[in-house]
Amino acid sequence: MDQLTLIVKSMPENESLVRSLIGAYAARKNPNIEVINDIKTAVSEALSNSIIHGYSDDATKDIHIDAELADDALTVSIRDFGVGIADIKKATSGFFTTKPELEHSGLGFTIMQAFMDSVDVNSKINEGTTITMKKRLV
Amino acid sequence: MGLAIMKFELRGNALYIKLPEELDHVSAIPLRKRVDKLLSLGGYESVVFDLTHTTFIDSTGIGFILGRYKLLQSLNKQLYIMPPDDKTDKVLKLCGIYTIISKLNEVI
Ligand SMILES: Nc1ncnc2c1ncn2[C@@H]1O[C@H](COP(=O)(O)OP(=O)(O)OP(=O)(O)O)[C@@H](O)[C@H]1O
Ligand SMILES: [Mg+2]
Repeated sequence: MDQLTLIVKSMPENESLVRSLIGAYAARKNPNIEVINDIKTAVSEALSNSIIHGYSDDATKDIHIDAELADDALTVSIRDFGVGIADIKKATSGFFTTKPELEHSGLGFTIMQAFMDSVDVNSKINEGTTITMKKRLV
Repeated sequence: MGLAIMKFELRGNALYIKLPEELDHVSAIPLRKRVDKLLSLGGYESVVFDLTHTTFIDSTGIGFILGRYKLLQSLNKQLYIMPPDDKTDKVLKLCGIYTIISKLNEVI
């Protein structure tokens, strides 16, 4: 099986690194550039949410990224062990944010859902959050 | 002011601000302070965000644009956008940016 696992610290600087890497990984299947860009954007949204919300910008924490290429599709999951999401339905609806004071507009999940074929949210209070997304590449 | 991060130019009454290649969680936060400082100086009637060199925007970047839009509204000034390439513009369209901010289709 063609799989990739990464563990990164919860630092914003890792967002561009991880999205580029997952984009390059997906590029093995030769999707068009728009597909790669969609993946990079969605991965970045999930990762920034783990950093900002899951870990409240605590850079010492770990984020796990698992990616897999199978059946001409990419599956990528981003997992933190942070505060978790109390109400997933509410959190994933557009324009909902718990940090409006920092100019967050609650668009991260809207972007992930629009840019990927599927977005699955698994979360438990004080245990963490896993976002699993899938995108067809060809 | 870090010209490497932010380039701006006054053309007539319009203040053109060139936004970075990646308008994301990392770049948007320091940029916010710089741009707001610049906007507080006045001496312009409208502002143009030049995104023609931008190839990546995330929701923090969208938050940056919306935040400056609100600030400019409170100052009674207009904001315009010079859009990025199509694949990058997708995020702006999805987030409904063009329902509140007009496009300007000329290059600096
Ligand atoms: N990994 C996570 N851990 C805990 N809470 C989360 C996590 N991801 C998202 N959330 C919650 O879901 C809400 C919505 O997330 P979303 O990305 O849509 O918007 P946002 O991050 O608040 O704003 P934006 O992404 O537009 O800057 C967040 O405000 C937060 O309360
Ligand atoms: Mg977000």
